[in-house]
Amino acid sequence: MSGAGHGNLSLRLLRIGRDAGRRSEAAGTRAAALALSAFAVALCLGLLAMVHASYVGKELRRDARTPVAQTERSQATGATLWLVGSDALKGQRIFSVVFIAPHTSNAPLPPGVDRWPGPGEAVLSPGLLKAGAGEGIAGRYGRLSGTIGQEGLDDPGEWLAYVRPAKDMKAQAPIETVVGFGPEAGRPAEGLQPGTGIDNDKPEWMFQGLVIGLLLVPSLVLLFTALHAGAHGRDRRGALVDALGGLRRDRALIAVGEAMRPVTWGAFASIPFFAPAAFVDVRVPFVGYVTSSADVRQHGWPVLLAPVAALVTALALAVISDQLAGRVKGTRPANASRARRQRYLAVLCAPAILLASRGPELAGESSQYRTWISWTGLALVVLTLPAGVAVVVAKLGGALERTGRQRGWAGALIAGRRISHYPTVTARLVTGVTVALIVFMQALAWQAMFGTYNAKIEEILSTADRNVAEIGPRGTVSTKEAAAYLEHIPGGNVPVVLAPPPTAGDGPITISGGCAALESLRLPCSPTPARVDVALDRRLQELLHWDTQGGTYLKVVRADHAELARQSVPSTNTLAVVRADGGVPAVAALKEASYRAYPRGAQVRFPGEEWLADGIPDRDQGRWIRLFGVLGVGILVLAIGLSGKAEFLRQGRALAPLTVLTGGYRVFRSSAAWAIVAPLALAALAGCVVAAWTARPVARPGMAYFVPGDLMATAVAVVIAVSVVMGLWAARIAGRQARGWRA
Amino acid sequence: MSNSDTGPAPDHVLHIQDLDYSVRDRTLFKGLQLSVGAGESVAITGPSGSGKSTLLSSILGLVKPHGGSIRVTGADVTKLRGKQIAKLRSETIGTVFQFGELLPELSPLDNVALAALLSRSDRAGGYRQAQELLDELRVPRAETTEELSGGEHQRTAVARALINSPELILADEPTGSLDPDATARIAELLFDLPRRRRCGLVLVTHDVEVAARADRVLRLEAGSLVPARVREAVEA
Repeated sequence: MSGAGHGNLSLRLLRIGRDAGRRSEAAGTRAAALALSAFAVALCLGLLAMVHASYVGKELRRDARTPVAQTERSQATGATLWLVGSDALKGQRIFSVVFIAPHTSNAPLPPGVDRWPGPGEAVLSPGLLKAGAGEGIAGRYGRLSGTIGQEGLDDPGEWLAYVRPAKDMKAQAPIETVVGFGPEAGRPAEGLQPGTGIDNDKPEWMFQGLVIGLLLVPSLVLLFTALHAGAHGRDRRGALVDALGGLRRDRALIAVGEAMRPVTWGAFASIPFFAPAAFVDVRVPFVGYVTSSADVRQHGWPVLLAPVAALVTALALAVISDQLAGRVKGTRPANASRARRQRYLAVLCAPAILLASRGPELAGESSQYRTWISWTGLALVVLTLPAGVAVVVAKLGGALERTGRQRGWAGALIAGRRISHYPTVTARLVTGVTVALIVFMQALAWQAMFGTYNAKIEEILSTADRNVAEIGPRGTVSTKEAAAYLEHIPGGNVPVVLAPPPTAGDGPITISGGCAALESLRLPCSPTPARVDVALDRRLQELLHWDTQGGTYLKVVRADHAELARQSVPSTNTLAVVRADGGVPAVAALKEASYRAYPRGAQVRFPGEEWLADGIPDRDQGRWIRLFGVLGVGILVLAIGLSGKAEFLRQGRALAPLTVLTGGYRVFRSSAAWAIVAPLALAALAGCVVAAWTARPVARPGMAYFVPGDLMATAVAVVIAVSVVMGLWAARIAGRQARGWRA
Repeated sequence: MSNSDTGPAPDHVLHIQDLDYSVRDRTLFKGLQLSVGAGESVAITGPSGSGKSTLLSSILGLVKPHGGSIRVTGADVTKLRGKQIAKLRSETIGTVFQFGELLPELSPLDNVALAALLSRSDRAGGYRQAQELLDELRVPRAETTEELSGGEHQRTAVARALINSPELILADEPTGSLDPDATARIAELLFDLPRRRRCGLVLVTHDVEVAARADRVLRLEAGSLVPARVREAVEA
């Protein structure tokens, strides 16, 4: 056998596979599904590469902007004064506001800032400028002198501000003196890094895990389903090639030839979706995250391999599926059966469910191992649950067949026979449903883990009155600065100061303010201090609820601005602002005023908001899960529809001759009801219970997650409704094929 | 020719000795013997389920017997593995299945040429040969085999069995799905092969007319092959 001849043979077999793919049963459906699944797998692999590139890029830029504190051994001559503070936009996550000032004439600048802002000037990130436009963020910290370049940001959308206060900063605690930035300048100082991403971002493995679990697995299920569409014809072909003396390699080449064209189209169609990310920063819809094109170019080269990897994956799966189809055992190759394999897989189903649901407990509180054990178990559940359902359905099929025979129900007889003899068909049919339910429940559980805390605080605070703002100046402030701030408070907004009792928990809470403020809060405004036992105004109730340290009654003191300024200086006292007309205080203007009056501005927020702020990063991360979850379930719905159509075509072909005997189509409807609706409904019930149970380990330590009962009932109802629709669809296909057969 | 040979004669293309095989508690072969010479045709009959098709599967190496040997052109099929058995099937044995077992998604030409490709023979022009055989057997050109009649279907299957010039042809109920005219033509075609091509033919059939054309007719009974007169063999 010559090499040329061998190559020629391979090409011929590939071509035969290609021709077979064009003309086989459900060829169009299979080709479309293969292309779509290869496209989805390529996108997922590309996404994994992009996520990695993003994490690498972030890490490098974070290192490069981490300050190096001045020590006795510092050689550098230049020094910068540095103090990390924070701020937040309304209802959004906290971001860093870094106060900087040159300590020496050659003071180093942080990366991304190309020149020193003047006193009272600030440099903001483009993302912050855009997001805070509605709050007038550009002028909040002083005059805007420029924007931070991407080399100084975690990602293009990061919110960050460098502010040079109008007044001089002094090199004393808490202000640090830094001599440079990044590892090249010396040993980076822990705790001085700007930015909140390092605290808020989830580890890369966790994010990649979400991409794999919520997107890649559904894409592979779609690919698996696509490869098995019209499996009957391919099994028969494989058996015949065996009988004619073909080798495994020959079967593999034919399988590759069959899948090659649609898979290639699908995999390479993903390129236009990635290419822009290498040239422009792309905002991810719904999540709002902005990708870095620089990261993709520098660290994301594996993205280029994604289409090739998807192509290889799809072809490898095509070959494996073909080889797993089994070897023929007789001269009647059409009878190849995979029922035994389904039984083996079904036996493994119970241990897999146990591993996924209880296995994480073995790892104790180590969350990383908990998650990995849970995911390993889940992968096994995904592989085995369809077989478990199929084997149970096959057992029920036997009973259905007997009932059908006894009572003369033709549909039940046919369906019972089919589902008891073809568990593989049932497994293929229910795979999409079971995996979709698992993905759905996992997404819910992860979403709950990320968002529950935030949601609970939101719920608590939703009843609170937000028409009052607390002003918390940063650092030590002087009476003069406090007075300046009170002068800058916009018109219509009036201040009060609350002072705790002299001894904690005992005595009066003193509330001081002008008459406009006191009367707005339904308090007396008398020249002499007045005692009030019950706060009637809701805003005042909120202030007292969140901030006072005990206190048995209110002591109301009328005070002018000078007195209020003096009283607002001690950090134990609370400066609050309300609108005289009861409306919402001008928070953005109050923030901006704080940066004019106080050296480092002030926190301006409604009572209890600091509790909410802690949960906001998790809430934002939860958006990724919702996005991935919706996409993943969407892919699985495609898989369900596709596997359904392929199996219906097959069932329809088998049943078509019956129409001659029965003269009608009723038998198609009843057999579809038993063979399609019943397995899918069982899969819905089993899938819901298993998916909910295996989602339990997804929780914060010490907190179990339970899928709400009404949600489970809804999920079951939706899948059963889908089953009924698919049953009707199957009957329609069978009817159409029967009409075609008669013609 | 006898059923009790102890060793293959030089011109035997098939020599089965002491073949044992059972499925669950049912014995299909018990010390079964069979030899087929080059240029000889043997028809095997017997009741349904007696093991006729399993015997052909055993010769193809698709079923592993529990005892005995099956030599095809001297090579013991029961001892061959993987590539060796594939090579034997593709180069030495041609098979015609009951329903043709053509791939519906391929053309008749592709179906026949596929067997030539799988044999990896050096003979150039597998497709040319395939077309010549199809023309010789009067199979019309078609895009897929679904366009063929039953007789054309089976003639394509015969062409596929012949493409590699096998020394042994196995036919499992090759006329089972055909009308009398087509049956007669296919039978004539098949039984003419040993004479024209000097190959052995083992044909399993229920059809008395078809069996009668063979050089010998054997009946599979109680796990053994016994000579039978045509009428009684088929009626059994």
